Amino acid sequence: MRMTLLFTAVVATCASSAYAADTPPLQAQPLAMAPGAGTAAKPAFAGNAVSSPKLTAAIATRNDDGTLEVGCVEKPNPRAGKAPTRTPLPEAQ
Amino acid sequence: MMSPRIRLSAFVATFGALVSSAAFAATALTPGTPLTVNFGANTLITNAYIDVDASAKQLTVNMTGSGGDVDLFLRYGSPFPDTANCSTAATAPPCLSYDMIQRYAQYHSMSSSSNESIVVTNASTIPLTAGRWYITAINGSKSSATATLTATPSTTVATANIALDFGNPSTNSTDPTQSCDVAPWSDATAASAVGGNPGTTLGDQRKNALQYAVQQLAQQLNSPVPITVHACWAHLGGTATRATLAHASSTSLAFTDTSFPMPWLAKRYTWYSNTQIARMGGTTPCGALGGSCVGVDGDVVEITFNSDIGTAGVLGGSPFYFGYTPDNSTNSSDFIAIAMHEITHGLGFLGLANTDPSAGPIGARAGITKSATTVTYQNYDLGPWDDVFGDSIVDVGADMQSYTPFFGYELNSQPNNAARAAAMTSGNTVTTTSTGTRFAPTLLRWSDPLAVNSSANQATGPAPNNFPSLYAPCDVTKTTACSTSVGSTLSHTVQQGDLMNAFYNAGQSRMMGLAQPMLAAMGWSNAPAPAATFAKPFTGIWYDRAHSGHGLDFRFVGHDDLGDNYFLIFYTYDASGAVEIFQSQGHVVDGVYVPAIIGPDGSTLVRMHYDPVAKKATPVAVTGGSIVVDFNQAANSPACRAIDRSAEVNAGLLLGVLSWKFVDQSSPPNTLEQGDWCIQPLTTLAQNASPDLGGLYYGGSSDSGWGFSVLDVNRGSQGNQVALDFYFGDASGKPVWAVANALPFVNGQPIPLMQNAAGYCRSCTPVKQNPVQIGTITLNLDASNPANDTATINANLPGGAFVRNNVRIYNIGVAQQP
Repeated sequence: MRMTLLFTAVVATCASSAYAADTPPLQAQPLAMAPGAGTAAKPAFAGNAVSSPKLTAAIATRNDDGTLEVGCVEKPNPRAGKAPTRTPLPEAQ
Repeated sequence: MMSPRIRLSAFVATFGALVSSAAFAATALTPGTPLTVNFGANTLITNAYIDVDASAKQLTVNMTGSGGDVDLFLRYGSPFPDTANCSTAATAPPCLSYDMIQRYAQYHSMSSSSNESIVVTNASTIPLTAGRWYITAINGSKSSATATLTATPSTTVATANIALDFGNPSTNSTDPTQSCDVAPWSDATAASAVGGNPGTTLGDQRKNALQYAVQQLAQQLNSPVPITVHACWAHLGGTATRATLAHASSTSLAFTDTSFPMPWLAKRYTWYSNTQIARMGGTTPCGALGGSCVGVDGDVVEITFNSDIGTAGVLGGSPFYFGYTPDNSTNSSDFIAIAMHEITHGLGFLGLANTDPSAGPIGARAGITKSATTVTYQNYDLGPWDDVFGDSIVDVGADMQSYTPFFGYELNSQPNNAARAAAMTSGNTVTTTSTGTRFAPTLLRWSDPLAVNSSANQATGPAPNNFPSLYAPCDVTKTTACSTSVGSTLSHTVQQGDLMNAFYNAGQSRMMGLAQPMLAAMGWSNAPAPAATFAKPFTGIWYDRAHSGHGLDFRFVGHDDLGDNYFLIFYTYDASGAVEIFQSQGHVVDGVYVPAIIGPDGSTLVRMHYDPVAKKATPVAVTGGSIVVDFNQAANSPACRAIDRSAEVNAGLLLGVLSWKFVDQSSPPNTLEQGDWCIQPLTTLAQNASPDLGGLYYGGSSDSGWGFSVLDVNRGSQGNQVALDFYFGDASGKPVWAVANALPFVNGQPIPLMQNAAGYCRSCTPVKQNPVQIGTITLNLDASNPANDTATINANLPGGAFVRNNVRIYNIGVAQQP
C-alpha cells in the first residue's frame, strides 16, 4: 500500500506538471491570524490525544502436564503517564 | 421600508461585521486532474469543489506538496466562508482563520507536512452523497509552499492493507520491556516450513506469520483506509510456568469536543482509539490529530512479542507456532492467533472503564489532567468521558429481561461506578474444559444490533438473552478461586472459539467472529451509512443552570450560502460582578455555532465601546475573545453532566456546549479565562405567542449601538409575557445590560428595567441575584405594521442616563429559520 501511494504521488506530480503548463497556478489568499498566533496561523495543538491507559497482553500459563493455557489481560500501560506514544507534536511555529 | 438585508447591514454597522451572503469564489476541479496552487506564508484557497454523481462510492482528495504546511479541509453541500463573505465594516480582509475553516470542515487532514489525504465513502459517518463537495486548503506555516490538489471520485470502494513497520527500533534502558527490538525479524537461524509458512529462517517465519495475521484482519475488515502496525520484540521475561507472549495497544486515544472538532466521529465527548479516528476520518492519525506522519509517528498500533519465548527457562522452552494453519497443539503458542487477537484490541476493541483497583474506582470512566497527556480514573481535571466500546455495552438485570446502558446518563460523581463494577464481575460460573477455563454467560452484554444479529453470535433467545456476553470474572482482582485464570474483564467475548475470547483456544480459527460486527459498531462498518443529521438550535435566550444570571441571547437573523446566520450576545458579569456584554456573529454549521472574525485582533467574541455622542458602537482594539457553541450530543459532555440534567435530557430539551475563552496578546497566547457551559433554552419556540412580537430590535443606522431582544411567550389565560433583554452603554461606553418583564404585556405601559446590582464572575460560585430598578422601558409593538414600532427608554446609571423618547425601532430578528 505504501508503494501504491508513492506511485500515485508520482503520477499526480507528473500530471500536475502537464496541467500546470496549461493553467496558471492558483495564488492562495491571506489568512487571518488568531489573537497571539505569532508568525504561523496554524495553532499549536495536540488534538486531544493521549496515550492509552491500558494495553492488552497475552499471557501463557504452563500446566503440570506441559500444556499451555493462554489468556488475555488488560494491564496498565506503562506509557500512560507520559506523553502519547506517538505524540502529535505541536506544529512548528 | 428598508429591505431586511439593508436593515441588517445597518445593525451590523453598530456592532461589527456580519457575514453576508455575497457570492463566494469557487474553483471547479476536474476529477483526477491536479490543480497546482502556490501558497504564500499563512494563506489559503477556499472552495475548490468537485461534483459527485450518484454512482460514486468513494471520493479521494489528495494534497501533495513541498514546503510550508498545507492542510486539507472538506465538506459537503454548502461552501466554506471565503473573503467574499468578509465584512468591511469592522475589519479589513483577511477575515478567515485556521480555526474557522477547521470548524466548517466535516473532514480534515492536518499533519505537519504538505501531503494530506482524505477518503470519504458511502459508509463514512458523513457519507459520500451526490452533489458538490467543497475543499479548502490552508498553508498555516510561515513558509511558502507549492502543492497540487486532486479529487477523484470512484464507483468502487478500494480496500487498503494493514501495513507492518518492521523498523524504527528503540531502546529503553530503564525498562527493557518497553524497548522495540527489530532484530528478531531478521533472525537467520534456519527453520523448517511449518503449517504452510514457507520461511526458511526464523526471522522470515516470524515476518511471514505476522503478515499473514494482518492480511487475515485486513481481508475481513475491508477498510478503505490504510493503517500501519509497528512490530516489535522485547525481552518481556517469564518463568517456567508463566510468561507474557505479546502485548499491544493503539498508540493514542482522543475525543472530539469544542476544543478540537472531528465531526466524522459518530459520538462526541467519547474516547476513540487513533485507529478508529483514522478509519472514520478517512485519513492518517497524524492527519486527524496533527503532527508528523514520518516513520514510527505514522504507526497506529504497536505490538510487542516476547523474545524470551522458546528459551529454556520460560514456559519450559515452549515455542511460538508460526504456521498459517491453526495450531492444534496445546504445548505451543499460536503466533498468528495471538497477533490477530492483540492487534484487534489495538484497532479499538478495548473498553476504557477502569479495571485496575490501584488506578481508581473500578468502573470509573477515563478523564485527563490539565496537561492533557495523562489519562486518569480519579482526580482528573477534564472529563471524564465515555468510550465507544463501552457505549455498546449494557448491564443486564438478574431477571434477564431488563437492561441498562453501561454508561448511560450520569453525573461526574459517577454513581454508576458500582453498577459497572458489579456487571464486570457478574460471570461467576467456571467450567474447566479440555481447552481451558470457561465462564458462563454474564450480565455484561453487547447490545449493538450489528453483533446481535450477526451469524457469528451464538447467544439465542429474546433480548437481552441474545446479546453476546462479555467476559466478566467474579472478582476483578483475580484473587479468588473463581477467577484465578488469567483473562481480563470487559474487553473480551465469552463464546467458545471466538477470536476475542479471553482465552485462546487450541485450533483457534483465523476468523474474527464477533469482533467484526462489534468493530463495525465502533467505526469499521462498510455498510452504506444514512445521511448525517445535526442538531438544529433556534432563536431565543439560552442559559446554563449552573451559571444562572449569565447567558446567551441567540438570535436568528437570516439564512445564506453558509447556513443559518445568528447574532449572539453573551450577557454576563465581569470580575467585580458588574454587568457586561460581548457580541459575536456567525453561522450554525452542522449544528455548531461557528463565529466570524469581527474584532480587530482577530477575536470572534468582541467587547464593544459605545459612543453616546456619535450614537454608535465599535469593537475595541483588543478583546482576545472566542466563542463556539456545539448543540450536537451536548448531553454527553462533561459540562452538561456537571449537574443533574436528567429532567432536561428526558424531556428531549436541546442542550448546547458553550465554550468561551479570553486570551492575552502573548505568542503563544495565555488563556485569561475560559469555560465550557451547558446551555438550554429559556423557552421553546412552541411557547411563543401568535402573532409573535419576539425579535431583536434596535434604533436604526443613525442611532445604533444599543438594542434589545424580546421573547413573546403565550401564557394562556394570563396573556402574553414579554421578557426583554436591554443592551446599551454606560457612561464610560462600556456595554451593559438590564432586563424587563411584563405579564401580561400591554402596549404603551411602562415596564420596570431591572439590573443585578451584584452579579458574580464567570468562574465564581453563583450568588443570589439582587435586582434593582434602574428605570423603565415602554414599547409599542405592532405585529401587523412594524413601521409603527416605537420605544421610550429611561435608564438611570451612575454618571449619566440613557434616554430615548418614543423612537422608531427596527426588528432584525426572525422568529425561526426555514
